Amino acid sequence: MKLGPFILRRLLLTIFVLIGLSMIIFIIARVVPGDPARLALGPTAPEEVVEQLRQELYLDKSLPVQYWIFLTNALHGEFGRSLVSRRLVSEDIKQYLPATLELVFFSAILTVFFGILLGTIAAKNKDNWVDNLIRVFSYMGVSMPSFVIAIFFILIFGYAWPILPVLSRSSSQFHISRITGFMVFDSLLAGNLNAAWDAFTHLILPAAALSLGKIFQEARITRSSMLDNLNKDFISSERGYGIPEMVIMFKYLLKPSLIPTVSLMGMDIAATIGSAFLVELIFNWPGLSRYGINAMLLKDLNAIMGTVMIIGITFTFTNIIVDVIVAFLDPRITLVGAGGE
Amino acid sequence: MDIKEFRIATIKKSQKEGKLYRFWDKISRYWYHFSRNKLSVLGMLIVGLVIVLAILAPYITPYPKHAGPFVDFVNSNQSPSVKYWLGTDEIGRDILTRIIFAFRGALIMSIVVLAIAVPVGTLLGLLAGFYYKKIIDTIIMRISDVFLSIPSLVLALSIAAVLKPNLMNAMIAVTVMWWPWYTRLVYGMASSIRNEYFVIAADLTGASKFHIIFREILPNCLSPVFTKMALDVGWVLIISASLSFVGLGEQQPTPSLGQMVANGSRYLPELWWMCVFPALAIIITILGFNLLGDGIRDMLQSSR
Amino acid sequence: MNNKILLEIKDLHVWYRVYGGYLKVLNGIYLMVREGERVGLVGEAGCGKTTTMKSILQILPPGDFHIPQGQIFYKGQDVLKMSFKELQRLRSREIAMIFQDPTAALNPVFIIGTQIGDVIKYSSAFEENVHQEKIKTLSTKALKEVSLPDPERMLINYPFQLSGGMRQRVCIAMAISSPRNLLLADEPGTSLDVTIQDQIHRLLNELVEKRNTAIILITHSLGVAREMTDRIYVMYAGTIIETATAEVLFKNPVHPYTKGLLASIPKISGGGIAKGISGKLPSYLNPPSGCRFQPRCEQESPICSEEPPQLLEIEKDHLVACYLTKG
Repeated sequence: MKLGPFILRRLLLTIFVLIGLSMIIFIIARVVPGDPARLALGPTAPEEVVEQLRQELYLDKSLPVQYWIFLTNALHGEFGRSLVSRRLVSEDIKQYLPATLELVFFSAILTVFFGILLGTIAAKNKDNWVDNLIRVFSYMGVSMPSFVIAIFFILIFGYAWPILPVLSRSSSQFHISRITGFMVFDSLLAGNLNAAWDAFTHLILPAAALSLGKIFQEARITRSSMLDNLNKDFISSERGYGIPEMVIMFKYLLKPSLIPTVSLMGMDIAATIGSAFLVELIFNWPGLSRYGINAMLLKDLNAIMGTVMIIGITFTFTNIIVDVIVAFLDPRITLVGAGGE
Repeated sequence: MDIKEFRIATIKKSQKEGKLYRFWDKISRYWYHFSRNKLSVLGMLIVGLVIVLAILAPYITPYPKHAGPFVDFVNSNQSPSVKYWLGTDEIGRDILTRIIFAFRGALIMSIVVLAIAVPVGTLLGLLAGFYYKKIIDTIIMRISDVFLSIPSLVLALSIAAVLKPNLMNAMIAVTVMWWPWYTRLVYGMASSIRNEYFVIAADLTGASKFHIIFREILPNCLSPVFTKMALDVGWVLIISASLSFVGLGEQQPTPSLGQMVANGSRYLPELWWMCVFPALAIIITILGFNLLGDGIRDMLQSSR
Repeated sequence: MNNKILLEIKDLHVWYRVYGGYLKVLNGIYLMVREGERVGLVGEAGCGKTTTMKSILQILPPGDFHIPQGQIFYKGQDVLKMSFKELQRLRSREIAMIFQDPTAALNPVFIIGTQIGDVIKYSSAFEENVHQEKIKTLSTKALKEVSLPDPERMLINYPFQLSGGMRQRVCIAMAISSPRNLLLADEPGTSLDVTIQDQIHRLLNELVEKRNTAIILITHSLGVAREMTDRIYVMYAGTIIETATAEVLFKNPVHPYTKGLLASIPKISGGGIAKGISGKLPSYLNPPSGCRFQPRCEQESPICSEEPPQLLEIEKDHLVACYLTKG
């Protein structure tokens, strides 16, 4: 399978896209607000302070020069200083990013696993009560924004039925040294099973809130894709040759049906990272989203630029990975047909 | 009277008017496919209800003044009762009234955003698809790729953040990030339709580019566009609720659903109605639009 | 020929559910195939040939198809009443179908090797748990039988990498990969150009002769039927309207439709463009009561629109379903 050139082409495209992204971010943060320094400090700040900030942000230079400075710095991972935390933005990001990644990653696993499972069940039980139940839940799931689900979770698990912890990443009695930044892994690596379990239970609710709607959505797509393929000739012909139902279901039907599901996941990841923003706020999860939103509300421009840039890069790379998986499932994408029509 | 008899009667009735007959037949067929799924009809009813409530808000709500600057500490924090069906918030405003008024902002947002983003996105997609593999295609698609490279919510948040927080800017933010989805959708369709025989035929017989794009290619792309539009209303509502949840949408005292949820969450669990009812309103509205959108998609597919 | 009867379809009705009611696709099919026989099923596009074949193997797309009456006897057993295990044995050992469109019939995301391999692996013709090596040998052998070049390399290709003719051969290979008693060939090669189609037909002929397999060859071309089959069934709008041996049918067609078909074949000896048969297939939603060909028939009698005519033997092995053939 010629996966290599495929990945290479995607990477080149990505670089172009990321440069474009940096331009857009730059425009949003520097050009749009008019006077970014004034915007950041508010209307009551004294003129000298604003002037000082202007100097710091190189606002006196021409726009292309500003952009160039921004870009070259960004390539080194330098986004300047956060106005709020007074630390380097890159430091801030390093601290908060893994938490968000852990959340999104775990949520993705939940989505894929349960989405495909429920979708297959729904397809097998077409039109009976199981299918209809899943369908009802899928309509509800799409209609409930993650933050609403999150609030309901807090209501249920925080007050009515406290079986799972609802706030932050871990209880305060555990102190695990950071290795990967993924708390569950770090705890396992340190051999502390209690801490790992604690981190895991804290992870469940936010990840569930993030993935609940998606699970049912993926289930619907899997179901309809399976039903589509179920009527295709190749399934009839395979059945006609005597291949057992089980094999047809789980091998010959599943693989082609997964293609649209997985493709959709790429777009879903975007929504997940975005929704993580709000879910993190609600669960008090110390991740990048919470940091980013605060930066946005407080007009902390450097932090905004850094956060958006990093999220953009993360998202783009995740997309590449998903596209690779799709290419792996569907050989028609990478292989140029030899001798076909 | 079952479907068959209905159709026969319909056809007989319009048999004289040729064009009208075709139109009416189409409508009745669309309706048959649409109404087969009871849930789609439910969605349509919900959407209809929301729209009607929004339009008639000042006339049918019990306390229209509560949607503006209004304070009544005596009646604050009331749980749902006969006087205030869904309770009051911390400064005494009727939750039910505010929810209904909040529908206005939500609907305006969806309408404006889609009214701008869809034509712009579709047009760009048509152009890119028509001039496939030429410069215009590359430029348009790369630009939309860039916009699609960040999660939509993040983009919307950042734009809304650097502008002053109000409804107009929230709409601008969401519109800016919405059009690329349509561009991509239409681009995919247009670039494959371009190679169909009827387009080539039109070209060979001297049709102008304008004609080809708008009279040959566009009508064939409309079906998925409409479907997406119907489903997108739900998404726009979610995004705008998220924006107002964070404080970047309609500002007080004008009510907006996301902001009501955010506000109400501070008073959980004792004063639960302040948070739960707006949340339910969000869910039901979005559910309605989603059911409707699904129904439209199924209807367009079955009547092919 | 006095071989045993292999397949016998009796009064088969198949309905398909759509908006507005049911499409009554098959309206009483009678078909019979003996061991080793070559039977042709001829009819215009849309008359129900494929549906008939798919009913034999019970592979009509699930859900919307309904069989209100009829029986399909294979070796004496009614397929419509078979248990799942019996059906599976039927499909993997006795009867195989070769689809009309080879592109649609092959799963696009699996390599040929896997697809043929699985047909062999799950076939009741071989012992349980066939060895991987043996599967590969058998697959290669099957591909060789259909004259595919470089069979080993073919096994690791995806269907879209092959040309149309090759795909059709692969389908045939899958059908004959285990020994069969009956092949159902649905217009093989129709979607390809004529020379390839010819090759495919010859290939099928060879295979059938070599293994004494019976075959039902579906085609919309009378010429092909004449060359490739011993006995022909002519089908119209879901009914069998005439059947005879190839010779007799061409020498002495009785049913107005058959006569019209034969008259439509342009002759090299001249005579201009053929007359053709005016009109088109009736609606299956509201089929005509009575003979389904009646709306297009040039002759007529009042009973034609009342009751569908039954197949009656007018001479040895020559049956016709028409009221106007007495005398």
